[in-house]
Amino acid sequence: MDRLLNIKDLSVHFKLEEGVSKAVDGISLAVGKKETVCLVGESGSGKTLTALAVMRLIPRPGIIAGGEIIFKEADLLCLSEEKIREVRGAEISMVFQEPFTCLNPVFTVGDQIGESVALHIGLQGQKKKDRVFEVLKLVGINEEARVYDAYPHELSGGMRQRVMIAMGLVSNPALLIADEPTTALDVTIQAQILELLSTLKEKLSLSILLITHDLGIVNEIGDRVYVMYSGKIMERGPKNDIFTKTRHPYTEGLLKSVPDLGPIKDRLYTIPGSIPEPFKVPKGCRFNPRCPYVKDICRLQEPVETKVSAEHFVRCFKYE
Amino acid sequence: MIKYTLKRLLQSLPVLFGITLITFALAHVTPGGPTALQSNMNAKVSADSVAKLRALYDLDKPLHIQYLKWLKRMARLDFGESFNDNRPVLDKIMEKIPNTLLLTGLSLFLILIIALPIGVYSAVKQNSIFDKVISVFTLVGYSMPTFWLALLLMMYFGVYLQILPVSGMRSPDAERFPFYLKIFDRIWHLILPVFVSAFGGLASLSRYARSSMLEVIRQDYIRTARAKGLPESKVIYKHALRNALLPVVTILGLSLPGLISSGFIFETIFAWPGMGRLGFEATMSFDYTVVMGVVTIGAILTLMGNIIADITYALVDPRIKY
Amino acid sequence: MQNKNFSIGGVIWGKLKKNKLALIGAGVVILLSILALAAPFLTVYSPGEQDIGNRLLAPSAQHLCGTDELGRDIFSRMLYGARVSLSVGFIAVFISTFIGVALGALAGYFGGLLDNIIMRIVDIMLSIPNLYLILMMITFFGPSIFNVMLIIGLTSWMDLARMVRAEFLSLKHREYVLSARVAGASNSRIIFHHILRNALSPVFVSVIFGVGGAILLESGLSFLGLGVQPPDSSWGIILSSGKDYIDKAWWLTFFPGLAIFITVLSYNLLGEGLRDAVDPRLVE
Repeated sequence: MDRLLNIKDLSVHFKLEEGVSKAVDGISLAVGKKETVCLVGESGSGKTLTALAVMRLIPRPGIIAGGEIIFKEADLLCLSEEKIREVRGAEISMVFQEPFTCLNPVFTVGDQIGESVALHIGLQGQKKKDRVFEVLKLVGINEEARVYDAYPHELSGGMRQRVMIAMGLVSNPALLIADEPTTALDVTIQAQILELLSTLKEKLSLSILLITHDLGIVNEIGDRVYVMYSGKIMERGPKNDIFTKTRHPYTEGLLKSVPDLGPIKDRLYTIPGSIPEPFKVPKGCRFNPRCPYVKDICRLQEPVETKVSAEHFVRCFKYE
Repeated sequence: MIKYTLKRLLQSLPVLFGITLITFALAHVTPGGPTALQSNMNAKVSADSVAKLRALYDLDKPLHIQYLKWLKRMARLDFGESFNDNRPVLDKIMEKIPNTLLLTGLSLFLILIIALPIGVYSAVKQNSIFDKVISVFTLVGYSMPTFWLALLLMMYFGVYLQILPVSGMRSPDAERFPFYLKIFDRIWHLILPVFVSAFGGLASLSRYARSSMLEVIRQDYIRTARAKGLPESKVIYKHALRNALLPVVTILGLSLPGLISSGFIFETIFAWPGMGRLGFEATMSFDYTVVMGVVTIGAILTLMGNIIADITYALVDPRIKY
Repeated sequence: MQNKNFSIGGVIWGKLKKNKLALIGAGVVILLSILALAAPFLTVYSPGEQDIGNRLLAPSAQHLCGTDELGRDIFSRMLYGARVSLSVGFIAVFISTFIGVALGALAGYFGGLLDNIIMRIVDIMLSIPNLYLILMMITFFGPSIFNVMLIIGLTSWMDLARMVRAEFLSLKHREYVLSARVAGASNSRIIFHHILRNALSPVFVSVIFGVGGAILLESGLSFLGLGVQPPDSSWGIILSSGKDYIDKAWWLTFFPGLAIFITVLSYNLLGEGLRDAVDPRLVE
């Protein structure tokens, strides 16, 4: 596989009064060219931080404590602040969860997309405006002239998310990171945005790293899946393997709690308990307090990754 | 826009109305009513003053007629004549207003150009030495009795170093100065009063700008701006600053009453011939009509300031529909 | 309920304990109150004792802060003045807190027309420059200790009323209030027992800030001759005689002003510390 992004052993730590919180605890993840990779987990599992680490935008007091992020042969973690800015929004773009708060309320859509155009491809005046119109059309906005002059609050949620995506596409990035891009939207709009992402991927030969807690979305557009829990990858593999040859009890729990997958049950399954506080990670396997198959060894030792098939790996003592 | 302005003006009518009600009521809740002032207060209140006060309030008429007449006069800004020199109160106030506006306007300007950069910068460098020094300074600014600061500065610059004048707005022989020296003389007399009257406002506005900026820096659209690849200076001084300054416009409007209020203390200390000093002297000599006039005009100035602030806000914030 | 309140107090104290500046503020506030109460035991000279032979003496071992234009010991005058300044501060704040809480609670709890009327009054009061309003009231009532307390109280309740109203608006739909109402509790019991006690901590914070503000205001008014009247003496009064001697006796201005500054600063430090400790939104 031709790798575009290769994250190796990445750790993100937060130094707090209560101790050091290992929010991302040595994860490895790869995204191939023209591939859609889904990073799945509950909120608080460290998915968003992983994405922000790729952009080198970890908020204070967090730090990238170790690892490598290889993108097109360069380690992003070694780039100077100026060099990483040339990657941000140009070669790697990111779309966030809340289209309501992610656009600056006091600038028009045209201003905000135009700013990216000027920054990354250096166009000015009419040429800049033309390029903005072009990307707006690309994301399926037909009234580009109206949207160009509109302020974010004058647009609907779906429209704003399209604008966010358009802003990320101005200089033909290789990778689009989408962090829960549809969570804040209505179901019908969700479907439209997902369809847009698939179309764009084909049209622009884009790779997508999609972060979500919703396995329904993964089922729709994912190629490969990483299941993340409390800062570690628990299971990874091609989508079909994950869905049909599920190995990890956590993945199993996630699948059982999706309403429209699997046989109809009396009541919806929920995984008991909740994700641990990042500085109170349990000893042994971090999923052990919530695991239905827990054994003594799970409380003592941390399991290592075990190969299930060529591309399917799991981190669980059931399979060691 | 015109519609919004009109609407805003209409909204301020009840407040104006309320001010007339307060000034009217105050005279009547005085123990024994306005006519009893003479007996229970001060020998300075002459029989003549009482007669004038009776006329001012139309005290021989029933209460509601009294108020209607009062309202009518207030609507025309007719506060009657000064008890002291029989000149129309409005004239006396109008000749002082430019001086007060000069002092207030300059203080406001000084506050803006100093407090905003300080507040914004200490937010950007949160928890730095600079930020900590500024937070101590703002606390001191809040707690400083500014009239004491005025006295200390007068003592140091006026009495000890003898480089700044301690009172008035022109030198005694300024009439004979050439034009440019007159200007210089005026500026020279303005330094202490403007600095002192800006002092309190500096603390509150820089603190406000700081917290407003801190609030904005946490917003998602700032992360978006960074994710776009913008350099940090543009993230802060374009995307964040514009948003952080919006509420500051309102605060400026809200700080106006305080500034006009405290102006009255500094005008008195520095013998600055403004509206506040006029009010102070009127209070000391029981010149009721002038006091009424000063209070009403002060309130109207404040209202106007607030309306201007609101309209400016509507102009700069695209989310406000007008 | 009792137990829960106790633990909230514990949490606040826990946070306050870590804030050194707030603790210093609290210490000074307590110390000042003790000094004011113990004034007769701490002073050699009586505050009114004139000694024309020793007028305008610079600070020395005999007269720690010097003497004034009538030969009175400034240190003694300041200690006794502290009694006046502090009591004006407390009583004025008591009045404004009473009005602010009462009107804010009525407006927030009953809403409707009553709310509208009260909030319009607040708007009007806030749009008249505070000192001008005070000036006008003093013109009519005349300056005296009593009137200064009353007038400061009557002109500084508006922010508190707004805050209490907001607190009531958010608390009155809480479950425990609704269940009390369903259980047939009277309006007054709901207001006092169920809502007010939950709104107490922000009110307390505003009282602390209020005392500092009232002392500042009183000293300003007395300084101008519009507040406390001689022979009563507050810090502002001593300062006002200092103004006439700024070229001869710096101590007459310096010490009383410093006393005001330190007092107000201490109340503000304590107030800030309490506010941060009480505010659940502050995560730092």
